[in-house]
Order: sequence, then C-alpha cells, then structure tokens
Amino acid sequence: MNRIKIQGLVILIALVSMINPLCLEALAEKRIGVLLWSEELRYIETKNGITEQLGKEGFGEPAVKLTIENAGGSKAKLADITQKFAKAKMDLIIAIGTTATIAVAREIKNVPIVFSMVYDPVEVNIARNWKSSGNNTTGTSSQVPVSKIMETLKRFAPAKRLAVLYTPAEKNSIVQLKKLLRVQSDYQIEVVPVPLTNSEEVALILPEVIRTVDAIYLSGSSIVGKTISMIVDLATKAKVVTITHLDDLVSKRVLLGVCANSYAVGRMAARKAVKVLKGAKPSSIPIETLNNFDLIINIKTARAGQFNIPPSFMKSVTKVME
Amino acid sequence: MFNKKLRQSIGFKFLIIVSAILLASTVVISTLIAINERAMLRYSLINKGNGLASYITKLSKDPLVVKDRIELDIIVNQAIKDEEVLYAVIQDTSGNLLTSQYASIDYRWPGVRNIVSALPRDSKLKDIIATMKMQAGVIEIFTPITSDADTIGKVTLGLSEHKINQQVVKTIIFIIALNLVVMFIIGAALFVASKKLILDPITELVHATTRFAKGELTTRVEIKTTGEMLALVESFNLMMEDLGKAIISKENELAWRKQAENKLREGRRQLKAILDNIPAIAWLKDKESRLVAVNEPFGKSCGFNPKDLVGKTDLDIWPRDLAEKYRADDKEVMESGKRKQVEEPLTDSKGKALWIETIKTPIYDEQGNFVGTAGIARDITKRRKAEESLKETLESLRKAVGTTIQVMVSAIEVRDPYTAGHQLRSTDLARAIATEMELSQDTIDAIRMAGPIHDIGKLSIPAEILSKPTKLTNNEFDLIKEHPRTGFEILKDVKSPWPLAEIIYQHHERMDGSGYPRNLKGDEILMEARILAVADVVEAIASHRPYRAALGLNAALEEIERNKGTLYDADVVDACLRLFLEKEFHLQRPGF
Repeated sequence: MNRIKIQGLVILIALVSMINPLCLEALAEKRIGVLLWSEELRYIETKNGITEQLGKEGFGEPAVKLTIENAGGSKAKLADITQKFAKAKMDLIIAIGTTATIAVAREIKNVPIVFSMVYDPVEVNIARNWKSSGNNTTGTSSQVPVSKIMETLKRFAPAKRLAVLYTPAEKNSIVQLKKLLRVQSDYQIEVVPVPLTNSEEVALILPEVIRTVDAIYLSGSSIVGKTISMIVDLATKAKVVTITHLDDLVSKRVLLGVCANSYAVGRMAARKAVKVLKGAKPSSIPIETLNNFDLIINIKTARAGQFNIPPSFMKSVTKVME
Repeated sequence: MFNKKLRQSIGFKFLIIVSAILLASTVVISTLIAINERAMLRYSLINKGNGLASYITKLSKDPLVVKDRIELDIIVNQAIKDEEVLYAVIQDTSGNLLTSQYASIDYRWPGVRNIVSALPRDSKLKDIIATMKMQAGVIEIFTPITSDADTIGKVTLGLSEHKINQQVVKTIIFIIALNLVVMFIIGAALFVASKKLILDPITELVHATTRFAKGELTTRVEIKTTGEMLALVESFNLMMEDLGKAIISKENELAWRKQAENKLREGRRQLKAILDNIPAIAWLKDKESRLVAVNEPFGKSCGFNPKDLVGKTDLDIWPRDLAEKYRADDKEVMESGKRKQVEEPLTDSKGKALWIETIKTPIYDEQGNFVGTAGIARDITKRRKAEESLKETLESLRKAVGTTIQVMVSAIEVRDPYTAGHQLRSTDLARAIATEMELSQDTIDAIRMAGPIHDIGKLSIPAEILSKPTKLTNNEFDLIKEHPRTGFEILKDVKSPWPLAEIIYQHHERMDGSGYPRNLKGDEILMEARILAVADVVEAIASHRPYRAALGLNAALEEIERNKGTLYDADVVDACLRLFLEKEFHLQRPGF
C-alpha cells in the first residue's frame, strides 16, 4: 500500500517536472502593440478582424497582452505612440493604415511588424517587393486594382472626367491617385487631381470641381473622411457619381464602392501575425491582397441623385446599402 | 468743443502740439513704410519664387521623390496657400504646363471662383490663367528652374495686385494703429512728465499770482521741483516777499500821508478858524496882486463870499481910487521887499468910511523867489477917533495949564519980582538948551510950563529971609531947601500933560546926589529937571541978587563947566556952553 503510494507520488513529481517547462513557455505572455492611424470605420473593422482571428488561433487575451492605440489622424500623436511602442519591448507590432505603418517601420527595426490596410507597400517604400519585404515587415493590402474601379465606373455611366480628391501629406492617398493617372488613357477617362490640405477649403474648392467633372474618386484621405457627407451631398445634387475603394465611405452615402472588405483584410493580416508569433521571419512571408472584392451601391444616394442604374450593373452588385 | 479757458491753457496747447507732431510723424512714417512695404512684399515673393525653383531643382535630382507630376502639383499647391498668390504653375522649356488645375489655382478666393466658374467646364489650365490675367489685376513673377546650369523649366507665380495692396493697407493700418498706441503712450508720458515738471509749477505760479493779486500778500508757491523750475519758484517767492513788503510799506506810506494830510487839513482848519476869528481882514495875493486866499472878515468887509474872491484883484472889489492906492502899496512892498505898515481910509460895502491899519509883507518861496504878498488890516476907526479926541483934550489941558501957570507967574511977580524974573530967564535958557539938545517937543513944552513956576515953593518962605542980604542961618537955609517940596505940594494935584510937580520937586537935585531935598542922583533925575537945574544956576550966578551983586556970566559958565559930569549933566552943560559961546545966546525974559 505504502509502496504504491510512494510510486504514485514519484510519478506525479516526475510528470509535474516534465510538464512544467512546457507550461511556463506556453503561458509566457506575448506583448502585441496595435496601432490605428485614425478612427475611420474601415480601420476599426480591420482591427476587429485582427483581434478575432488572433483569438481563434489561441493568441487572444489573456494569452497575449494587446496594447491598442489610436493616432486619431494626427502625425504628432502617431510619433508619440511609435516612441512608446519602441520603448515597451513588444513581441509584435500590428500597424493599421499606410501612414501609421510608415512611421512605425521607419523607427522600429528590431521588432516584427505586421501591417494592414496599406494600399501599396512597395510604392511607399515599406517593402522591397510584394513577395518579400526584405526587412522586419509583412502584411496585407487593402488595394483594389484601379482597373476594377475604372471598369466599374465605365459600366455605371459614360464618365469622361474623374476628379481624385487626395491629401498631399498622406502617402496612401497619393499612391491611389498615381495609379489612376497611369491608367487614365486606357479607359479614356481624364483624371483630375484635386489636392485638399485642410477641411475648411473643401467647401470652397468642391463646387468648381463638381462643375467640371462627371465623377469623383474618394481616396484614403483623413480630410475626405472628415468632410465626406458634404462632398457626397454636393456631388449627388449635381448628379456627379462618387466612387471609392473604401467600404466605410459607402456606408457614409458614397454612391459606389469597389472594396476590399476591411474585416477580411484584418483577418488575413492576423493569420500572418500568428506565423510571425510562431517564429517565422516577416521577410519570408509574402505581402498579399484579397482576391475577391465587393461591389457596393448606396441605394439611398442613387435615389437622391436620380441616377439611372443599368440593370446589368445592378446584377453584379454584391452589396446594397440602404 | 472745449471751453475757452481750457483752450487757452498751456497744457492744452502742449497736448495739441505733441499730438499734432506725433500724428504728422505717423503719417510720414506710414507713407514711407507703405512705399517700402510694397517693395518688400514684391521682393519676398520673388524670393519665394526663387525658393520654389531651387526646391524643384533639388527634387528633380532625386529620382526617388519626383516620379511624376503629382509631386509638382503638391509643390505649387503649397505655394498658392500664400495670401497674395492666385496661382502657381510650372512649365517645361517648351512652355507646356506641368501642374494641374486644382493644384495650381487658389480656389479659396471668391474673385478666382467667380472668374473660373464662368468658363466652360472643360477649360484648360492655360486658358483659365489667361482669363485670370485679363480679368483680375495679376502680377506674374517668373523664376527659371535650373539643373547643372541648364534651364529645365520655370515657375510662374501669379500675384493678386488687389491682395498685395490689401496687404500693404493692412500693414499700414497695423503700423498706424501701433503708432497711435505708441503716440498715445509717448503723448501721455510727455503730458504727465511735462505736467509734473512744467505745467503744474506754472499753474501753481499762476494761482499764486492770482492769490497775490487778490491781496494775499503772504502767499507763496510750495511745490516740489528741481533745476530751473526750482530756481524760478524760489525767485518768484523772493519776488513776492519783496513785492509784499513794498506794498505794505507803500500802504503805510499812504496811511502816513493820509494822516499827514488830515493833520494838514486840521491845521488849515485851525488856521482858518484863527484867521476868521481875528477881528481883522487878512489875505494872500500872488505876484499879479490877485487874491489867493481871504478870511471871513475880508468877505464881510467887501460884501462878497470869501470863496468868490479868489482870483480877483482890488479893482474888482473896491472903489477905483482906493483900489489903485492898494495896488500901489503892493507894488511898493514887492519892489522894496520890505514890510509896509500904513493907516489908510477905507469905504466898506455899506459905504461907511473907515480907517484901517494895513500891514503888508512880501512872501518868498524856499528858494527866495518872490511869490506874492500877505496882508492884514484892522479897523482903527475908533482908535483914530480916540486919538483925535485925546489930542483935543490935551490941547485944551495945555491951554488950561498955561493959563494957570500964567496966573501963578503973575502972582509971584507981584510978591517977588526978583524971583519972577529969575524964573522966566532960566526958563528961556532951559528951553534953548532943550532945543539945542534936539529933545522932543513934549520935553520942551514941559520945561516951558515948569520953568516959570519952578520956585513957586518959595511963596511959603517969609520974604525977609528971601531978601536977607546977609548970610542965612542953618535954620533959614533948611527952610529955603524945603521950597522944591512945597512947590511939588502945590502942583501935585494940578491935571497936566507934563510931570510939572515932579520937575519942580527935582530941580535942585545934583547928578552926584549932593542936591536936595531927596538926594536923588543920575538917572533918578528927570531930564527936564537936569536942564532946569543948569539953567537955574547959570541965571542965578549971572544975575543980580538981593543978597549980592551979579557975579557975571563967565563965573556962571565956569561954575557949570567945573562941575560938569559931577553936579551937572554933561550933555546939558555942553549944550548950554554952546549956546553962550557959539550961538550968542543972551539971558532975557521970555514972553508967553
């Protein structure tokens, strides 16, 4: 009886001593910093996609410690947060938005960075190429091929002049403009660049823009984000088509959206983050975009602007917003 | 707007002048700055264009940054954010525009929007800029873009003339406002400083002067100040003190003068009272014999108000004959310079004839120049009448006495013919001596009256003693020695103008006191008695006497000459000797 008891105790001790190192390693808290450029809806949705996917794969809280920060569209605040993350010795930093990613990638070289919602990481010099960043970064792009946008616009209405609203200080916004400029001759649509440097001048410039163009493309610009309802109102009244690749803007009554689903982009980024957390080098993980895009129409705006929606176009719409 | 007093005050004028100077300087400064500002603005915009060009040059060398025209758009878009810049474009060497419409044109301004919105919707940037140049005042600044000494394009800045002017005006307004503030501060500081340093002391000086003028002679300026103002205040106070003293002494002098004048007036009143009160008329005349002042009695005497007489002459007042006489008197006094006293007739205002005694005296001023005459005249009519009546009385008395003496002489003659002769002869001699001595008629008359009866006392001496040819006994002689007294006793009650009794009483007295009956001497003896004594002795020795023969005239003269100055008066003796020795006088019996 005693022998059996002693044997059992020894086995128990042996088992405990075997399991213990494994347990310690598994329980060691991973520290992940999450940085959002602004509070725009697409970024929030992206963040949600990331956190949920991480959770599904066993890296949800409390297994990891998530520090989520939002720069609120301010470059000054962005710099502060970057400094804070650099000092905090994170295991991984997840950056959402082109501007946020550029800031973090420039400052932090010894911590893996997984980005998301960066329109064109190569164009803005975050990565060497799409297959390998060649540095401590990897991630997912929200990019919708400009050809898809031009095609969609052509299918909806015969537009000849397309104004692109952009913000010179935001790289993401400029990249989208440049891509459109490159393809303008292919679709015989003249791209008219409209720089917006602050919210106040939008109301002054926009009426003349609307007078001279058939459609307006809304790039990923914080100023556009802030003034979107006014832009849409003015355009819709003048029967000018508004189009974007950002799904949150469609929810704010932009007429047409050819969008990568922000939530899906987030989930894709989270899967890459898990690989990194499990030991893969970021440079070994290719940067990807989604393959399927949503074609969204805001029917309220369509009605308000009395736009004629071709039936064939309506059939290809994947999502209708009320 | 401001009251007159304020407008005339030094402080107000000072403030106005300071404000005017500062305002003028503000205008001048503003104008200069405006001119300069325009040039400066242009200069700074040219610099901006240069800056842009060199920036573009730099960017164009960096293939990483400039990949397409969007970069150029962003650059010009920055440039148009400046107030004055309406548009900014970049052109290549062929003149093609490299920047896009919305990046190059500043749509924020209504002027720009108005011009652009009138253009066709598909207008090119080139056309838009051409229209703007036509319709708005645009100044273009061109700056070449160079790369390695090659010009690769140019930057064109379109500036709004209106906005430049606005900017200039803004600057001017700012400067004027600033100047006004500075002016106000400087003005206020100057005003406060000058008020404390100059205006307050001056105001206080003015107040002090006003107080002084109102009679506060002890008023002084008491303010804290330094330097020249302190010196001014101190000398002002000193001046006030001296002036105060001077005024007080002047007032004292005036009071003293008033007092003196009062005294003078009082004196004059007293003098007038005296003058008016004296029972005489009094006056003052000037050089031309015009009346200067008269007293009350003068007025009464001529029937005029004394005040009306001033300035009149005697011709205006008195009957012509009298007036001319008076004027002649005046003239005499003036010419002789001596006091004149006359008794003269006057006919008063009622036609009454009066006698007046007038005394006229010349008056001289302090330098001794003749200025007029003073006169006083009193009514002597009564005295004059009294004198006349006295004269008459005396004459009648004289006549009465003469008659009485004649009677006595006759009586003596009857009883003692020798003595009677002796008396008459000695009287004649005595009268002659008195005349020789140039004595008064009264003395001579006295001798003439007393002489014929000087031995009347001998009536009481028995005739046998008188005519006794032998020597008299002492008793008899004592009896004879009593005759002057007896004579005195007889005549003492006779009323006479002359001292006849006394002369008779003394005619045997001698100058050395050896005579009788009272042993008088020298001046105790009347002159009439002394003369009579000499004449008595001479006649007695020279003539026959019952008790002896005549001793002769020479013996008589020897006797008097020997005793001249001892027994007999020397002058009398001398006169007697002259009569006999020089003027052949002879003793004889005089007739009445």
